Amino acid sequence: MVEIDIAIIGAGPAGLNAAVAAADLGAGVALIDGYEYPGGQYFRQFPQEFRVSRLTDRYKQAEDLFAQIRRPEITYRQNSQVWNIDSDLNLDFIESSALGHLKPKAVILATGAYDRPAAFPGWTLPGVMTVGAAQILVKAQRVLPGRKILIAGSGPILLALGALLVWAGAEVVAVLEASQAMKRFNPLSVSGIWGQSDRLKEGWEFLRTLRKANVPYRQGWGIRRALGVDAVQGAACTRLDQHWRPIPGSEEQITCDTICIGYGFLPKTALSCLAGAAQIYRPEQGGWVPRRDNMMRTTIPGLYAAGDGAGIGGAGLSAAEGRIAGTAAAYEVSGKSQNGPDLEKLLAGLWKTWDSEKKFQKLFGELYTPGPGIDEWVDGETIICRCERVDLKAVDQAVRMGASNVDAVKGLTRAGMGACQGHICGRILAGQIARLSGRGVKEVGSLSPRPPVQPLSIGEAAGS
Amino acid sequence: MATYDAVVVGAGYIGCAVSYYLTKAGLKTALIDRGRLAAGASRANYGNIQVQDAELEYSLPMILAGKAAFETLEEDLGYKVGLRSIGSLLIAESESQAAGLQERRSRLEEFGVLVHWLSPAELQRLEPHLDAAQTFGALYNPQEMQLDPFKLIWAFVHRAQEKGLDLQLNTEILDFVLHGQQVGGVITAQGKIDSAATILAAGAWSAALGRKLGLDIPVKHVHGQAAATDYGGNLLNNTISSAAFFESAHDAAGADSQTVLAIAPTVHGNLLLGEAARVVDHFSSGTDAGSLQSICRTAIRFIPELRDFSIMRTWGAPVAFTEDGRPFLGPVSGLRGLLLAVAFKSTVIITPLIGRVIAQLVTGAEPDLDIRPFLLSRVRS
Repeated sequence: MVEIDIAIIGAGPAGLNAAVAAADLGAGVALIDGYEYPGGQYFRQFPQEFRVSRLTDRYKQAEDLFAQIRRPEITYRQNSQVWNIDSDLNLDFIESSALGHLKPKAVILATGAYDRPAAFPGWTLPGVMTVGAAQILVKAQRVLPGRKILIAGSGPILLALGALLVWAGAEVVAVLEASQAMKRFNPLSVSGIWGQSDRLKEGWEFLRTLRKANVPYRQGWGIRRALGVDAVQGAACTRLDQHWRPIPGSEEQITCDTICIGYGFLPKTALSCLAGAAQIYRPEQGGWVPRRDNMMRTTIPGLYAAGDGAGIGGAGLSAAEGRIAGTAAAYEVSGKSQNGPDLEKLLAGLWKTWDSEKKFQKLFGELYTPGPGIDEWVDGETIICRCERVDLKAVDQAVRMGASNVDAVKGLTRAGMGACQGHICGRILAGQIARLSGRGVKEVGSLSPRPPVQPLSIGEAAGS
Repeated sequence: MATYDAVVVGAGYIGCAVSYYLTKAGLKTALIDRGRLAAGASRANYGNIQVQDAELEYSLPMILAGKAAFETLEEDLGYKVGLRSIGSLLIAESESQAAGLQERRSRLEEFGVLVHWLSPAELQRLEPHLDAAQTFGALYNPQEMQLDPFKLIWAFVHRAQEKGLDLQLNTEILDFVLHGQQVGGVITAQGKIDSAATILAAGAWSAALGRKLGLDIPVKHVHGQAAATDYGGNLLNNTISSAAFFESAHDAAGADSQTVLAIAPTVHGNLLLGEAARVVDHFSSGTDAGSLQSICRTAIRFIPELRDFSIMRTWGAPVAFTEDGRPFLGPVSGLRGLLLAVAFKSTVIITPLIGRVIAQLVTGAEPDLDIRPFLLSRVRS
């Protein structure tokens, strides 16, 4: 039984790379992941029951990494969800309905990200889903999300989903990209593009697939409202200006039965908040993220954070950060100095990769970070908090009653107090309060996470 | 350097109510808190307005007077605070607790509070989802109430701000201003606040603040923990708590958490489950797996169907208590300019009343309450 020096939470690109880097330096690692198979979202795996006829480069990469974690230094715990952590690094997790506890010497949070929800009239109609959800349905369950599918959002993932749906035999009625930045984009002049040839190749293939299938790809377009009574029957779409504000008079109706929305990602920072790590506001990285140094250390001793879960940056950056965190944490737990030349030498090469990936992250942020208009698509009846059915009117009323931050609006309206505990509505709520009170999104704060970070049944929490 | 008529330390139930009544009386008031609004026990509170679990020897008249204030409170404030009627059940878990509850019933009756004794069979009929076989009967008061804690606190603060309240959150009190035996205000990291009257309403933090004045205010605290389910409100018609609470809850020191049953349905349809409590020295808003386990086991023992419901969130807070179960209210002999309003066992029910009483003490009006049983001098040597 290997002694656990480092617990790594999440087995996506960041977590897998962190585990390997730490194990290479002799640390005992627990790699804890909530899914049945490693890989996270980026390397999402199929259930064993489905045969896969096409393996892309990405999956070959994944197979390599998965093989590397099969070693005695790494205890891989699957179906294991961490629901609580404190500043002393006490971890509580639940694995196949049994409670578990760990107190390692160091923790690396590699929790990844989730689809950023955006609110607009009709977004609660059946048939509206996130791009991520659609991908899972198709890839992992071989189910088409609908018959006539409209994709709207921002970023290359829209092309990826569009191409995937075309391959799967669906009718994609259009892909609406909110950002117009790509129209002016000259790849040769932007340093962020160096070393990203794989990505560019992938993106070009997706575009070709869409063109061949005659799928319209419109830039500077977005959803104005989802139409339908009991389910999606169509969408009103509109041109957007450079700030993502609807341009009056440009509305068009598109017939569809499914709307996949993808306006970027939000990092899963709940565990870092529970541990008391200081947070900073970085809109181009998804909002509030834990403050870190160049060794991925947060402000809590022994607590590291790597990958999209600490700031959206993509798989390449996640892998680099994972390796940095795993290396630095292994040094810490072995009692070796983190300030000496040995570690610096080890990290020097990793920092170079990190720097180049950060350039890509910056470029990506410039191209695709939502403009302020994203918070202006709602009307009074639009639901802001889905779990508690709190509409914009109620939020507006709370702001008029003097509540000018997220915490106070939550207390008065119950927004964020339902089953999802603000996972879906948190960022939307902050955007609306900022808009209604005339303050910046940073000023209005955010919902404070509480344990459990995902629901536990009372029976499970009671133990056997 | 600002000069106020009153500075209130602690923005929980009591501090916010006090601030409301002070500003209503036209006094220039500052309300200071080291954290956000209602950062301590008040935010962790269920919002129950209960008579039947009151400290019986001295507090009952205060409790009953307090309850009366709610009849017009929403109207006075111009705010809905989620006030509703709901019954309460005090559950006996042993013969001796049952006997104690019977005695409680007679005492309550003397004050005109009519509560009913229910046998386990009668309890079962009243609460079909409760496993009444786990009990030795219960005391039932159909006429208790409940409100939304945050809404009440917000209502007080907002109305007070409209009348000029200077609210300073995330502001730590570094020291008090002392001119000989006269307390003249507080000193924060932002500067000095000179004030004719200083009101200490800081709950569990009051002991440490008192020490800055050379005062021994014997307020201890438990770290109380609770959890909220997602939907589960239809499993219970009344709030329930165990008579074990009267016995030893606050005597149990040490590392082990002790859970005493306290479950309340809210008007929103979820259930609040609690309460794990441990006497501690540190201040924390955290929760731990062991306490959650204990809370859930207790909950399932009494309401087996809860097994399949989910915990949405858990929370913890320092909850102040005193040895005799009575608050510290009123002036302190030997120090002028200071009023205490700390460690109320039944808090929500007397919040508006205490707000009014403190304002009366500050302005020199006749207080609506005989505060003599609650003075600090009762414990000072």
